[in-house]
Amino acid sequence: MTNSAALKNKLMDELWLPKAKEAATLFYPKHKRNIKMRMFTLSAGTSFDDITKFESEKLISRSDIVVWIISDFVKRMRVEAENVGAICEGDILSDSIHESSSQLYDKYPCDIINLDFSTQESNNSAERIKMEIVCLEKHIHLLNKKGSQCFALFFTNVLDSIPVDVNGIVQTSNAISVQGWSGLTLSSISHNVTDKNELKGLLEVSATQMCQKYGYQNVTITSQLLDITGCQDKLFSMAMVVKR
Amino acid sequence: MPELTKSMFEIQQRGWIDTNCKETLRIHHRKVEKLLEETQILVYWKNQTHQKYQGVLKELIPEIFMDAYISISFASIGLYKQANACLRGELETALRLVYFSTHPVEYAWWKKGSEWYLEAQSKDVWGKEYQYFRQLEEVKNLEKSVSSLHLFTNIKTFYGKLSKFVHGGASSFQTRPERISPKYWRREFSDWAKNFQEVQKYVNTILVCGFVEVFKNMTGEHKKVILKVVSNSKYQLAIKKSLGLNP
Repeated sequence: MTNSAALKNKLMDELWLPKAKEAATLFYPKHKRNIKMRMFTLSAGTSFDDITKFESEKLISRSDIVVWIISDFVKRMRVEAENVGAICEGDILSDSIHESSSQLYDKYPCDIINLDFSTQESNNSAERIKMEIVCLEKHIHLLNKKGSQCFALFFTNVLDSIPVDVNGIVQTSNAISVQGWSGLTLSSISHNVTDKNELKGLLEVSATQMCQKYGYQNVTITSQLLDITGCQDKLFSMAMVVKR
Repeated sequence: MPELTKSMFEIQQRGWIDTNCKETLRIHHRKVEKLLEETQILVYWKNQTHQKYQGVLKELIPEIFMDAYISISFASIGLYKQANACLRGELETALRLVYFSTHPVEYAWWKKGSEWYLEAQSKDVWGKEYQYFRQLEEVKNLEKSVSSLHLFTNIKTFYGKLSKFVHGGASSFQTRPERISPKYWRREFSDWAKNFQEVQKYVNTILVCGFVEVFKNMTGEHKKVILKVVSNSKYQLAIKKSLGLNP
């Protein structure tokens, strides 16, 4: 779990908050203030800065927030104390998000989706980043299923030195077929990516193509790649504003 | 705030939380942390993926957890009578959980508030005394595996001890001639802590007996942690022997 408050504050001030405001203006042009967007947030269950900040900026209301935590009684109680709309528990990477059996199915669509994987328990699996990208696609798939016309999606994860299998990402994504979609095209990216800048590119290209797969042609991405003190890993975050 | 409500708020804030809790945690923070850790393992039971038991475990384990957690909270602010009453609730719910895991019809009745068991002159859903549990093969195997281990005789005695707190027995009064409001008392806290650990031992042993396949399919690490909470070496040995686990 990456807990650096300073890094998260930087992301909030420079990336998430500006993009959330941009989304609010774009999605609800007729509303001048108190827009109250619905938000899904992947949380560590110990701090809720995104909720607090967006609420203070009058972008969201607590009753319209869905929080996902790992299955843990203490975290559950902590989140319950925040009086959010709904709480989901479990391993988000293994949940079939886009299927009707998922806890999330009835809680979507949301306007803001904050997928901060750095809040989850540390995972040194070679498949981690691939699973995070797959999870990203499942959320877009569900948004499409639920008829969402536009959304803001923030994707944050830790880039380490374990090679990422690009072919594996392509195969997993293409296993979900969509009529008229010929498949992910990541041929310009090396098969096993370790370079952080190349990983950044991989994530941005994958996310853009996944949106297009489900009919979301207008995708703008702004991202940051931040050094994590004391290690070689980097914290990557991209904020996507997506419209059909 | 109105007068009486304001007084209650101040009594709770100043007396119970500010004074009792701080003093309890100052002296016993290591013990409290250990007991809180023991409650965490209940999530292993809740998260199991065995289809047959998913519903009943998911619904009743949180209740068992909260009884344990609130018991610690009550004890931390000097409410020992209530802390022990919670422990009795925790033990009862664990017994109901095992019973209902194989009695889905009765579980559905019970959730709707039916008290069908009263007609059979039993105060418990599983029937009179603990006959139901004593007949379970898993319990019989457990008791046979180690000499003089009488699980439900022990549970019966212990349950009776906790019941004194529920029924207001004089020995479990929360008031004293010289003081009526809750206070940190070392002996009461220690006695409660022993009761707490006894309950976790019985709850986890009952769950192992009731959900043998679930326990066997847990990771080695989870099994080890659960056995550590069971703590009593005789019970640990009985579980390992009766389930054919490595000693």
